[in-house]
Amino acid sequence: MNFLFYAGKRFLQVIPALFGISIAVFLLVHLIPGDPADIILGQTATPARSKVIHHMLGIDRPIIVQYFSYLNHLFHGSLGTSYVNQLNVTKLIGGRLSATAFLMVGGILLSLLISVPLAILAASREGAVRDQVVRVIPIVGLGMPQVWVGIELILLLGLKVHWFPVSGFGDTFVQHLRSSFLPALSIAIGLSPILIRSLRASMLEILEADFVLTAKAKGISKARVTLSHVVRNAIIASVTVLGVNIAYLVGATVIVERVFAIPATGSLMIDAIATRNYPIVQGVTLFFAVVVVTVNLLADLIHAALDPRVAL
Amino acid sequence: MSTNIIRGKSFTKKLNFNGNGSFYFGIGLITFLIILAVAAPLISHFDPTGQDLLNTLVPPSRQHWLGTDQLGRDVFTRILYGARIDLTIGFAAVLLPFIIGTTLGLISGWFGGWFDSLLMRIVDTTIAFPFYVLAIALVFVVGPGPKAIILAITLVGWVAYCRIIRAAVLVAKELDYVHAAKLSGLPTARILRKHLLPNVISQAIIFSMSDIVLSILAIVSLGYLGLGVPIPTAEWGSMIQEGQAYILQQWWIPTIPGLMVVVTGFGLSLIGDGLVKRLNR
Amino acid sequence: MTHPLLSVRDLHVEIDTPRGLLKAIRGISLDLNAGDSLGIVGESGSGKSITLKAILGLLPKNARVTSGEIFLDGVSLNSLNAPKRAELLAEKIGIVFQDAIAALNPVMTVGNQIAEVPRRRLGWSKEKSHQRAIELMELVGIPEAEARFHVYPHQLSGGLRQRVAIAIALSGNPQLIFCDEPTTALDVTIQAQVLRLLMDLRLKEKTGIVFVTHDLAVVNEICEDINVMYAGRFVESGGVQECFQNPSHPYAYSLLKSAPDMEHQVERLFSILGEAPDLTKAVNGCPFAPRCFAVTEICRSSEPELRNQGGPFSACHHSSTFKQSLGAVELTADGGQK
Repeated sequence: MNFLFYAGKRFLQVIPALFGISIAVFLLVHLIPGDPADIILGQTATPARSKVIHHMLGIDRPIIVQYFSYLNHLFHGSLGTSYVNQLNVTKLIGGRLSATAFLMVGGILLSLLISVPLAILAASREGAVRDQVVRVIPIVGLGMPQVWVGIELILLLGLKVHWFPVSGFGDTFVQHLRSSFLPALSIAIGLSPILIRSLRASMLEILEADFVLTAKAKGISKARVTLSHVVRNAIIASVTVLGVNIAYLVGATVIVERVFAIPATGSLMIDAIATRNYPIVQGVTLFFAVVVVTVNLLADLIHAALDPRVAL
Repeated sequence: MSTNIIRGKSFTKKLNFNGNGSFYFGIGLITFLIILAVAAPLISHFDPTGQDLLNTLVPPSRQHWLGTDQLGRDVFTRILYGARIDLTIGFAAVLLPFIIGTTLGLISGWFGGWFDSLLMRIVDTTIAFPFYVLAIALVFVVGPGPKAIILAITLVGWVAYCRIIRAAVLVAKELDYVHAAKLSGLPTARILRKHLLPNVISQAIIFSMSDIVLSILAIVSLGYLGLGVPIPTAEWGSMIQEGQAYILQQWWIPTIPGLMVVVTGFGLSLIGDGLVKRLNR
Repeated sequence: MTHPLLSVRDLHVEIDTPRGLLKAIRGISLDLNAGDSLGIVGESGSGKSITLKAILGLLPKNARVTSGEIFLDGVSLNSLNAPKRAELLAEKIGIVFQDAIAALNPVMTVGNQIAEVPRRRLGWSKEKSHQRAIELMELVGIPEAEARFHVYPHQLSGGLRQRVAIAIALSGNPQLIFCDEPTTALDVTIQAQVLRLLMDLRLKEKTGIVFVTHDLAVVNEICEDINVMYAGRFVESGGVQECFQNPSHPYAYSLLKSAPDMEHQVERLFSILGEAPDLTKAVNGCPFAPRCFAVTEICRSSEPELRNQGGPFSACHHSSTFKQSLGAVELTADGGQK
C-alpha cells in the first residue's frame, strides 16, 4: 500500500484517541472533591464571591457546555490559566519544554546505545555464554527503581569522580547536555531491561527467518548477511519496541527530573499538587498524553517507511 | 502414561515441578522476603518510626546493623517494615487490574462487536497516558496514600491484562473443544468460565509477575516524590528520598532500600520466566 | 408426514481468500434419515469439512453460506434466530473432531467434560450426570471408567482421548453424530478399534453418523451410503456396496483403485495424476476432466450434473462407458506396472 495512504489512515486513527484523551483529562478535574473557588479565594471565601469565581471559571454552566468550551480553548492552543498566579499554562509548559526534550531525546538515544548492541550480541549466538549473560540483565534490571538508579549514578559519577553535575540544568547548551546526561542515563538504564528483552526476541526471529537462511545458503558471508539483512530489520524492531514503550519513558522523565532537581515539565505538575493548581495538572497531563500519541505516530510512520511490508 | 491413572489438579501436573532451579530460587527468595516482612517485630525490637535524636546517622554497629537515619531511626528495622508496606501494596495493587482486565478481555474477545470496538478505543486512550503522569494526577484528585496508588495502578493496569486475554481468547475460541462446547448447547457463561478462562489465564498469570514488580516500582517512585505512603511510615521509596541527602557519607541508607526492590524484582522475574516455560507447554 | 432428519438443499459456500473468492461448495444436497450412516469422501480441499462446518454454523469468519437451505428435523435453520438454531443443533447433532487433543479442554477432567451437557444443558442432578458420564465412558469402551472420571486429557492415550471425545459427542443424546476424520490422527490398530466402536454405537444406539474422511477403506467399514466429493460437489452418490463394486464416476473409480487394499495387502495399482482445480477461478466443463482417463470433448465444455444413470448417482457424461477406455490408460497411469 502507498505510504501516503497509510500515513493518512494512521493520522485519522489518532483523532479518536485525542478525543478520548481530552475527555479523560477534562473529567479528571471534575472528579476532584471540593470547590476550586475555595482554593482561589482561600480564607476570604464567601458564598457571593465564590459565585463570581464560578462564573469567571465558567463552572456554573452545564458539563457538556464546559467540555466544548474546554475543547474550543484547546483548539486555540490554550490549556487554561494557572489559578495561583494567573499565568498561561501553555506558556508555563513551554518554558519547561526544552529540559523535558533533553531528557526524552537523551533517554531514547542512550537506551538504544545500551540495548541494541547488547541485543545483537545476545542474538548473534543463541544460548552461548554472551547470550546467557545478556539475558540476566532484564531479570536483574527490571526491579531497579529509576530514582534509585539516579541516586547511585549521582554517587558514583557525580560525587565520587565529579564527571557530571548532580543537579540543576545549567544555562548554556553544553551545560544542558552535561546536566542531562546522568538523568538520561538513569532513564535509559531503567528502560533497557524491557528493550533488551523485546529486541533480543525480534532479532532472533529475524536471524531464523527464511530470507536470512537463504542468504546464508547462497554463501554470502556472515558479516554481509548481518549488515544487509539484520541491521535494517533491527532498526525497524528498535523503532517499534521504542514506540510501544514510549509512555513508560515519558513517565520516567517525570520521576528522574525530580532526582536531579531539573526544572522540567514533571516538576511543574508535582509542584502544582501542593497548591491545588488544577489547570496546570490538567494541562501537563494532556501535554504528556499528546506527546505519547505523537511519538507513537512517528514510530509507526518510520516503521512504515522502513518496512515495505506494512500495509495495514 | 496411558494406563496409570493419576488423580490430581491439572495445574500441578502442567507445572511439572522438576528441574529448573532458578524457578525455585525465585520462589524461595520471595518467600524469604515475605517471611522477613511478616516477622519484622520478631527480628528487630526497634520501633520503625521511633526517633532517637541523640543517635542520628550513626554508622552500622552491633546494635544498629545498618546504622540510623537522620532522625535516629534504625535503618535495618525500617527496611523490614518497609517490606511490609511495599510488598503488601505491590501485590494487592495488581489484584483489581487482573480481575477487571481479564473479565473485560474475555467478554471483548468472545463477543466482539460494538463492545469490543468501544473497549479498544478506551484502551487506546488509556495507554496514551504515561503511568506516572496519570498517577500524579490521581494523587492530586484522591490525595496521597495507598488508595491513590491502587486506584492509579488499577486505572492503567487493567489494559495490559485485557489485551493479553483478548488476544488469547481470539485464538482459543477457534479451538475444537470450544467449538464442541458451543455446539453442545452449553450456556455461554459456562463456556467462558470453564472452557475459555482456564486456558487463557496462564498468560495473565505470567504477566502479573512482572506487573507486581512494576507496581512495587510505582509505590517506591511515588514514595520518593512524596506522593505515596505518607511519612513517617517506613517505606522504601521515602527512605531512598530521605537518604539522598546523606549519600556521600552514609551511602547505604538510600542504597539498601533500592537493593531490596531489585532483589524483589529479581525473584519475581525468575518466577515469571519459570512460569513461561511451564505454562506454555 | 415424515421428513428426513437432516436435509441439505443446494448448499453453496464461498470463502474469501487472498487469491480471491473461493467457491468451496458449489451446490450440494443430501438427505439423511435417523440411523443412516453416510460417508463423505474426498481429497483435502474438496470441501468435505466445510460442508460439516456450514451445517453446524462453524464456518470461519471469511467464509459464508451464499445460498441453499438446511433442514434439521424438518425445521429450516434459516428460519431460526441464532440461539434457537444453536439449541436445535445442540439437541440433534454431536460432533467428533479429527484431533482429540484439540477437541478436549486440557484443564477439565474428562468426566466433567462428559457430564457437563447432562448437568448444564439437560439440567440433570449432579449424581445423575456423573452416573451418565460413567455409563457413556463404559459404552465407548474406556476401562476403569469410575477411576478415569477424574483424569485429565493429557493423562490418556490418543485412542482413549478419541473415545472420550465420542462420549462427549454422545452426552447430549444426539440423533446424529458428525465425525470429521476422527481416526486420521490415530495408529492403524487404534483406528480399527475406534471404527468398531462407532459401528457398534450405530447399531446399539440407533445414532446416525456422517463420516467425513479421505480414506475409502474407513467408509467401507462403517457406512451404508457414500458421497464422493470433488471440487465442491458430489460426483458420485449411492450405497457403499454398489459404489465399491460398480463405481460410476472416473474419480471414484480412480480413488478405489489407488486405495491400498487393506484385506489383500495388494500394492497400489493406480494413482491419480494432476491436481484438483483452483476454485477461485470459474469452472468450465467437468472439473475432473484435466485428470480424467476417459475425457472427451463434451467434458471440457459442460459440467455434468449428479443424476441417476443406472447404478450409483453420478456426475459424469460417460458414467456407463468410461471403463471401456481404461485398458490402455491403466498402463500409462502407473508406469506400466500391474
